[in-house]
Amino acid sequence: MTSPQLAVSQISKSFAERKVLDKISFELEAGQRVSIQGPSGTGKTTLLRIIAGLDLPDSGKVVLNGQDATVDCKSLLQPWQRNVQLVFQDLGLWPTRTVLQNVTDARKAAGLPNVQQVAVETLTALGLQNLIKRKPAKLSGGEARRLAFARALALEPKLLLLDEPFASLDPQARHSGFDLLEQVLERSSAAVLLVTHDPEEAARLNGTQMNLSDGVLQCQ
Amino acid sequence: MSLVLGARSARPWWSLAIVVTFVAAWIPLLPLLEPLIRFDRLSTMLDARTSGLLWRSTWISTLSALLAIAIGWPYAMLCTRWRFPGAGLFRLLMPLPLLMPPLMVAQAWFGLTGMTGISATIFTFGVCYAPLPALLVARSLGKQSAASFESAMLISPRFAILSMLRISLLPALIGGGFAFLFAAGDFAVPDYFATVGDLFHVYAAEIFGHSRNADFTAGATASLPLVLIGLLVLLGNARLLKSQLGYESGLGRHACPTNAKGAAQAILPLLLLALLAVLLIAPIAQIFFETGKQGPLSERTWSDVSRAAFQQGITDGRSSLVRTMQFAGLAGALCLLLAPLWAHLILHCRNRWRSLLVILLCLPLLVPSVALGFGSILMFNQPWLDQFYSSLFLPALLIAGRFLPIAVFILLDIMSRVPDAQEETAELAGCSYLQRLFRYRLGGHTSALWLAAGLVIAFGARELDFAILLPAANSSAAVRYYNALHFARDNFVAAYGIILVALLFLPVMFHAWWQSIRFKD
Repeated sequence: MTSPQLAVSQISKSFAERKVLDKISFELEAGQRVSIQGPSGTGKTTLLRIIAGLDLPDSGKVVLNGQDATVDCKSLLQPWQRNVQLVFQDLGLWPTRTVLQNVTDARKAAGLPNVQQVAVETLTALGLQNLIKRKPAKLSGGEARRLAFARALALEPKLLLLDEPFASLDPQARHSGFDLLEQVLERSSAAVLLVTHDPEEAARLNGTQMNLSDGVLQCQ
Repeated sequence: MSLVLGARSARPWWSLAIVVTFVAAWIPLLPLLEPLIRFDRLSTMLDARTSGLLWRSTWISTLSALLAIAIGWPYAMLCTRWRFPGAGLFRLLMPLPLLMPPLMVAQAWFGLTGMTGISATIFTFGVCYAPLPALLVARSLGKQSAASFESAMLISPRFAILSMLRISLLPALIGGGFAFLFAAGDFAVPDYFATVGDLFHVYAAEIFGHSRNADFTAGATASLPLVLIGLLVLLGNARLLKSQLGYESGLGRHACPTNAKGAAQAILPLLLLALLAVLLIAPIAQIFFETGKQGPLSERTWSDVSRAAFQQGITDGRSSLVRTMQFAGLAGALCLLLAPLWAHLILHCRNRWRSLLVILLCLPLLVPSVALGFGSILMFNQPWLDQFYSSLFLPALLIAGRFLPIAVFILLDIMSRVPDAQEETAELAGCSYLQRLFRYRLGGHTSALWLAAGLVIAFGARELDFAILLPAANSSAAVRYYNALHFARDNFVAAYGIILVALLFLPVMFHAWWQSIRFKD
């Protein structure tokens, strides 16, 4: 029997007096898609950051592909050792690098082969082939979002975490965003965990839907 | 009066700022333009000897700027982006070396190591101006988007550090550019090292040399090549700054310092301590040691001599210190009004006008201070301006004009982060211009205003070059220090230097202390 790609068990986290995550547990199989929906400020981003190893929980455990990654407030696997990619709400593009360099730098640093070829292929697949020499500040909102997805995809993660990827877009841009997400998911075999406050966005992922409210996770 | 203060339009206030700056900063620069209409002056500037000096000044300043970057960049990176015991203290002390009079640093390093000549000059400038790249690097690293840094962290720690280096490269270069400007215009440090060791000349000393035969016009015009080089550096800096602003994240979370783990908890403070020793501790300790230094036959103890030197420093130097604080304080007070007006004006200007205004505002900073002194003598030493010329208002005005850009840039950085809507809502509600500016643009950031004024006071108080020339500033503490150093009054010089440094550090330390109290609240 193979272990799940991600197993989160009994994760709790408080900020000051406020408990944002209260003994959260769930599992994600390889290639599975899960969306977690909940209003703003309910700890969705915190949950993703704990899974990525960027934050530590107060208690609980994160297991990635059978290997303990975080146990209580101890990180056993560093963020770069988890083979997890997070598409941040504000994208986290590297402003001093061009579109192409944002992807090649990442792939090179991760020690993956065929840096240039895969970068160009991924950027082409997401329609950015004509913008490869631009800096992120010169991209439109939609183009920047494509680049963030391209960079994450080029790293061939086993687990892709998406933090409200279309939160700040107008309805039309959101629609093309959904199409983009479909495109991205077609190209990747990664398990996907998406958090959002928008029910439509959660539904478009075509996966298991869960609800996070008052620190408690429930299946819909 | 209330009609003026209650004016809703910004224009009268902006006009006032421009008029005052014209008198304080631009009128003394007018004599510099003479070579542009008198070609005989221009030809003497281009002879082989003068070009050689200019070339030497350029490369000395370039190497000084590179050294400032080499020290300031890692210092800022280590203490702003890693969390370890004492990191806050290292951050607090970061700007202080900039406030130390370079001549005093030169004296300290000569006493410590016996170094002289061009290499000692480069070292002194590098150490004195390292805070410039450090402060800009610290600012840019504080503005790095958290998501951008964490995206790199998900790939590798080395890559995360690389992302920090990339975001802070341009600020380090910009800081180096400013270090170049300060180093190129300083004559006192090369002059000191040339006096105690092998003789050499730099271009700023050549300009100062004209004061010996009272040829102020020649002195002012001779500085034109340095001004042009400074202008090139400033334009380069403006270009770099434009690129950098595109890289910084104004909104969203900013990257936080990372906890130092294991051996790094000991290594990082030690590294910073080593850098701080070079920047601050060693020079101050050496000067302090020199307060009680005496000949081998003396029977007095070190502490007796030191105490006597401090007493002498206070009694003999008090009047100079008071005079210095009077005109520097007046300059700081003037900048409290001028700097917000200028920052607001620049913020509201369209691109081309904005660049032009920034260049005009920075001109007095590009000019060697000695040349500013020559220009002031030529323009203000008129019979009908006699009272003004000998009053402390003239040095106050010149200091305000010269260091206004520093105050303006501090406020511009703060004011650009305040959403326009805050001020516009107040405008729609009918608030006066001053209310909009001070209450709604700067309301939550008054400490930045005090910092700006404090820096003008500190820079004004350490100003030596034009103070030597200007009768109204002749009795300043910096000039007294310079004269005492040249007459080899060692104990007095050292004690007076320490007193002066303590006075210069006060405004900045007070600001940092105030900030830490506010932060705790």
